[in-house]
Amino acid sequence: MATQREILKRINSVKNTQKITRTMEMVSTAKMKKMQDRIVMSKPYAEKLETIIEHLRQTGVEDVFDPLMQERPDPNRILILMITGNRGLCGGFNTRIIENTIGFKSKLTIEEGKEVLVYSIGKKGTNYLRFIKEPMFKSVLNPEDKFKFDDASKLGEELINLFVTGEVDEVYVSYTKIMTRSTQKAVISRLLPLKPEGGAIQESVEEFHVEYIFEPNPYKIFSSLLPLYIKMKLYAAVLETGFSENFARRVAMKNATDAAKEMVRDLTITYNRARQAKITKEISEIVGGAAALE
Amino acid sequence: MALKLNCNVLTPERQIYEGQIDFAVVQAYDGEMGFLYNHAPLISELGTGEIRLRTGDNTEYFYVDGGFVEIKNNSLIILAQEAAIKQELKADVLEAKIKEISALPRPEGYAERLTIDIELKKLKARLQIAKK
Repeated sequence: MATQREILKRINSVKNTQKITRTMEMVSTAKMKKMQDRIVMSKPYAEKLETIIEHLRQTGVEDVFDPLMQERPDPNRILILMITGNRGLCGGFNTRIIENTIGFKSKLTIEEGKEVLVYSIGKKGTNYLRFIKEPMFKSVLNPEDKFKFDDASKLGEELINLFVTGEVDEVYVSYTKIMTRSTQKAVISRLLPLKPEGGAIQESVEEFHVEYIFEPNPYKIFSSLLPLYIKMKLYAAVLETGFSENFARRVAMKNATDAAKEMVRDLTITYNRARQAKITKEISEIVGGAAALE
Repeated sequence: MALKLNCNVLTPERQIYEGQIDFAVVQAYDGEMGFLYNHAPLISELGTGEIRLRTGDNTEYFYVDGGFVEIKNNSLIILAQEAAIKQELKADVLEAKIKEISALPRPEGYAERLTIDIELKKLKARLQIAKK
């Protein structure tokens, strides 16, 4: 059995780890709240944007020929935008996104013989791809809480440019989507070409056709709305991934803290046993010694 | 008075304004556009400039750059790509920035020159609002 001193040392070290994990849990909780606030703030904008697109389509702009919505007959070069975190210690969060991306990529390359490029945002994803020697189209750090709509805007323009110039034929985003408040899922969704979202035709009775006046004209508005829509989607994707990362880290750190607590408890019991054993031994030695003198 | 518009000014990052107003002027893509009660349903693109929202004698100023405006059933929604409240804009900071950019030598390429000109235009629009 380990000596008392050794056990004490271990107890202290576990306690220190516990302190760290607890702090990290609190930090993640705070960051998660912040991210959530930003998501909530951006929701009305996204909703209104969708309503306007909806209104436009009800007036019959649907069959407009917009380069961003045009499907290429034989998509060959495909870009996947992978959004991961910069840091680990958050359970399987980054791994899930990476696995998802790699799986999707190999499906496209091996089964369909397409050329797939990966654009990685976030250190974790980048490091992994570098480790398995996967070539990357581009890699940047995840701006995390410094991420502004401006950044999403730039990113969106970059992607739209790649698409419009014919550099790539399709663009996908691999990120973590918030399903409900407590469940997130790594998903891959297509960003470009934009597909008309299903169930768009809601011939609701109470909201019969309102005749809108369009300035300058519906087509012009539609074609300038689409890039904004794409940017908004990207903005949401990065924010949701940020939220999920902090959520995952919080859960991981909570588990670590709980495990540490359990460990301290076990170690304390072992320590007390060792102490008791030592005392018992000493007493029996004294008693034995006294008996020998008699 | 009941003849008021429900107004919402939104950017992707936050909600800048929500409330009831008498009269709104927004910077559309080719000029200013005013809205009063019972305006016909309209969707328009926005330009770079100012938004004025009047309630009684009180007028609030905002800076807007790009986006859309929609009005329907007396509910005015301004979806700006970028926007700021007048109080957030600091005239001296903006002036310094304009000076700094103007002092730089003109770049060669047409595209680069254009970006600088647009940037300057935006800063000047901001400054104009900040000075009101």
